[in-house]
Amino acid sequence: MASLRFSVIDYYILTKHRIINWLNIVKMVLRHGPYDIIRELRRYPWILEFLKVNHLMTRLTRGRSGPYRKAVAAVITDVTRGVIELLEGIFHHSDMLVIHEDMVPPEILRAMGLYPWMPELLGILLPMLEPGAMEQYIDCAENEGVPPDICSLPKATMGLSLMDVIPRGLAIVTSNLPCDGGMSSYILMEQRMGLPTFRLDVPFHFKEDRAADYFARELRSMIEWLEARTPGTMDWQKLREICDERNRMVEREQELWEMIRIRPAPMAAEAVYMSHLWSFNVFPGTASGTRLFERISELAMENLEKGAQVVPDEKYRALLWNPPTLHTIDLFNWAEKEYGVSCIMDSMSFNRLPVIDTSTEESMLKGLARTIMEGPMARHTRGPAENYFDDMYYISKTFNIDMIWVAGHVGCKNTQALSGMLREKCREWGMPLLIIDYDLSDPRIEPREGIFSQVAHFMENIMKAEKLT
Amino acid sequence: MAKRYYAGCDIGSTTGKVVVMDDEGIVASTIIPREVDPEETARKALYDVMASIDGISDLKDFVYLIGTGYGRAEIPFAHENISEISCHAMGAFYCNSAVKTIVDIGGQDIKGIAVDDDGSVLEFAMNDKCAAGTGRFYEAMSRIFNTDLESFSDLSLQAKKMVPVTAQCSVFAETEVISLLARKTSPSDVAAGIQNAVGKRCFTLLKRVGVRDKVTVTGGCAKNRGLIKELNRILKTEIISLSEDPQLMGALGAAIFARRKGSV
Amino acid sequence: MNNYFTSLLEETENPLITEAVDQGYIPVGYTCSYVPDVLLTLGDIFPVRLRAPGITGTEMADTYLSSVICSFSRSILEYFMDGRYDFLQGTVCTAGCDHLRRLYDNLEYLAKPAFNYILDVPHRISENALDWFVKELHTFIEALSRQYGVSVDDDILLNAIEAHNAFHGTLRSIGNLRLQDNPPLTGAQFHRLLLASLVTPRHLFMKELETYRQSLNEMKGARNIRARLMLVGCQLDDPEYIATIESQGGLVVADRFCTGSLPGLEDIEITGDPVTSIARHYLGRTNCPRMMEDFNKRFNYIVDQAKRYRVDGVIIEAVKFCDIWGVEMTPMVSALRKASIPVLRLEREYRHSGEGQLRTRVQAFLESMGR
Repeated sequence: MASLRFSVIDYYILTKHRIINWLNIVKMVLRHGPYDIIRELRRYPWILEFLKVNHLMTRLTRGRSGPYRKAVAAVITDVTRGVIELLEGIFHHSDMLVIHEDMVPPEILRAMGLYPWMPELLGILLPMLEPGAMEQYIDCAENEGVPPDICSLPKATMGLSLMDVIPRGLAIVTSNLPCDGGMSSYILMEQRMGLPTFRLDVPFHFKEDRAADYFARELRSMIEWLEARTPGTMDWQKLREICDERNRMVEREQELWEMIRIRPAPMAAEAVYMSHLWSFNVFPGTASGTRLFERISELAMENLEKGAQVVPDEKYRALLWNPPTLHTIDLFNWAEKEYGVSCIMDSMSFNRLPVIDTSTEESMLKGLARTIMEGPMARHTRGPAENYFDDMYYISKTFNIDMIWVAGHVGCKNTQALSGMLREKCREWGMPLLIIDYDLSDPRIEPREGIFSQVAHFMENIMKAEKLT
Repeated sequence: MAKRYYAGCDIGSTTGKVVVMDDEGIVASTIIPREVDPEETARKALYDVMASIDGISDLKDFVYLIGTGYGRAEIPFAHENISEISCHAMGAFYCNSAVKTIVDIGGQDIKGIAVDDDGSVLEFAMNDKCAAGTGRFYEAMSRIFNTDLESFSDLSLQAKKMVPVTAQCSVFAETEVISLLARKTSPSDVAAGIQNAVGKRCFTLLKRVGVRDKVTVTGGCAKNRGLIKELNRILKTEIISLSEDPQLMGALGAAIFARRKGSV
Repeated sequence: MNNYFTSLLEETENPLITEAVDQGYIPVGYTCSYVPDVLLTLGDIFPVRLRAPGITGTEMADTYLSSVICSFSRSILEYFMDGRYDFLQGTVCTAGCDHLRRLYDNLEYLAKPAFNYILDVPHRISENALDWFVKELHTFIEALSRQYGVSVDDDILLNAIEAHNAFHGTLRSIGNLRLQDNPPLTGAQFHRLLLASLVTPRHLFMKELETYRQSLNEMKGARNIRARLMLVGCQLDDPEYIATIESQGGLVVADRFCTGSLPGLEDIEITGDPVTSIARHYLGRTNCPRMMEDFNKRFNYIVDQAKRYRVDGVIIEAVKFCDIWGVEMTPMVSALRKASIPVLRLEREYRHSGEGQLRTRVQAFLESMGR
């Protein structure tokens, strides 16, 4: 009877969120007008992939129950809402649109009244919806002469610009993040799109005090540059509000992280990593972001109070290193059921940054500078090797981690170049390590079955795990 | 007046080819399997072709002799050597001056060549680091299918559908094909997949030089009807055939250059 | 004489290094053109540009750096792991590119040099970035002082700059001979000389350099040059690569790569205090695609030098797996072709191999130029 009740509740949760997503999509179509929507679809054919969002939600919530199911569904619904908001920025505000590279945070752009668009978002989100979605763009870039060994995310992004399906906007803001491939891709993008381009420079010694000063000056130059070339004007009060809201998001997230330290975890996987990836990179400092973390924290608390665990048989707690396996985004949904593996924390979320001091313009800029320079991925790919290992060690101890799974994207040379060191250090710590060989945005290199097979091989031979199914 | 003969000698990885021209046109040609030593291959091929021409019995009787191909620098009796890229372009242009794009699929490499209005090379791209999609690859595939090259070529034409085969590496492709055939997948469907894999390799290479009509294929693999059909489909253009044996294009181009040099 | 330079390039520790070490000089290795090698001439230190001459494979290094990292980084790590650089008393790396930065990490982990320094070089040239780099150099100089007992003040720095400029001036005067219609030396010969200057102590090498300079006055210029070529690219330190290119009759008259003369041999101009002058010089001189804003500057430089050296064609080479060159090559080749400059794009491994393939490509390129 209990299981029937749970099934009914779970069905209700999924259906409710499906309806919300469809309603949001329909409202957008009605607001914009069907005729105009068709015109935009012809201009940006990749929009159609977003119609698969409910299928993604079904895959990610499959077998997950109660608060966990609600949390994961809430993340997907928030992403859908956010994508619609970004699309409307493209459709209606192209006179205020600024293209920004994935690690240039949009807080300042929003404070200037500008509308941000991150081209890399497509290479990140689309493979989750349709694994092969970026293949044509990757191939296009390679056919133009971009070497195949360049990371597939900048390759896909370059391909999008070569095929003229990126919204144009007024200007490009990019940086030397996250790596050489990402940085260089904007040489080609700048030429292809013919837009004025500003570049931020993140130093190597970013932990030194002078680094925040240096980068705060970079941010000021960026603001002046944008004011000279776009209708945007810096509104420091608005930036203060955004940073204050961002601080609230951080506090809610910290509450969640405190809870997931507990074994067994009351929340895991996409509810933890996808919420961070989306909210902090695309919608930082927005009320919707804070609401999402509040909701996820509430749901985690609900689980804690009930003594419920998200993975019914939590045998293993994993730290995911590197961006998640985008085209096999339900990896942990499968691993939870197959082996009782719970994804507790990941490198793209974890940070120990203080909140932003919003008392003065300078303190805000320095605070933002720190979030960029010492943020996830940036501190790893622009810094020395110890930034990897210090984090791995700290996270493992703090979150009670049993094993590290490195999503060993073949195009991430920063990580590949530490593979030997990583193996040795993990051996020293006694930490089981799995390096999944695959490609971030291109499933042809290692398809879903291959990824599962690598995990199975590790779990059965190294961890001596038994299958639960 | 004694006839003047000019020769082009193409020493490739699997065959030696010679084309002899006089001031009017092509006189004779030959294709022989390669010896270990390139010089020996050249000598053998030249004497083979000389046997069918009156009035010429010694290498010195050629007014000008140009070597090309993989072994071109090892032909001591050649007056000079010219790259096979330039020779293929000139050879194809001589056969059909409308040719603007060539894909040359030889024993061990693939080349994409963009041809100018006068038969000279505009741009080129080569894939000579990996045997995927070259003559050797097809030989290996024919062995797996237990058939000869010509029958393998026609096998793909009977396919009902195309079973994709990896285009990345010939070693992996072989393993993949063996396991597909072991699972009783239709051989002609797998053969179609192989042609598609090779076709995609050619496409990628041609994209680097630009595909302009008319497009043609040179080298031994041009006789692979299944591949030509697949290329027609992938490139969305009609691959034109040449008036001479496509395998002779390198030697023909060398002979044309020899004629130019020897005529002054 | 050129054979003598070749002999200096065969081993990581050449006889001049051994002689200098016996005299009490201190060899410090460095990886990249953004390292201000003028600072490595202070006191008894002398700079040794890191290479891996004669390397046959990088099996050991691959287990740490993986095989998708540029083969230059892997080759250097391999040689360190093999003890071929045990004679060094320090290394200076840069956060120049991802691959060299990880080389530093792996050197730190595996080789544990007594002095392993990493310089933070900005990715663009602006007043803010220059200010950062100046501070960086001050910290670096202090570290050198502490480690090697070097005393440094403005006068000492100015003297070092003067000596550095004089040395480069001699090298430049030799390289500039290729501006002539019939240069008395080939690109490969000049490259041997230039590389030898990068891996030997200058106080011992200067004599050889001046002798060679004199001998060139008597040499006849090259005849029947099939084409004058500019070679553009990155870390190229095997002269046989250029020799193979030149075997097809062309002459490499302009060498616009990291270990070449353009613009690597320009004088350090004194534009302010010595450290600021050094910072400004080294930030601007290398034309590496890591400088994310300077594509047009790099393009214009190639075009200007191509005119200056009356070049018939440009060959652009990059080591496979280099991200920054890999992406830059496509728009650069396209821009050069639009400017009616014939271009051959080549990909290579750090270790010179595939001679036949290189020869074919160069020959076809020359033929396509109608030469």
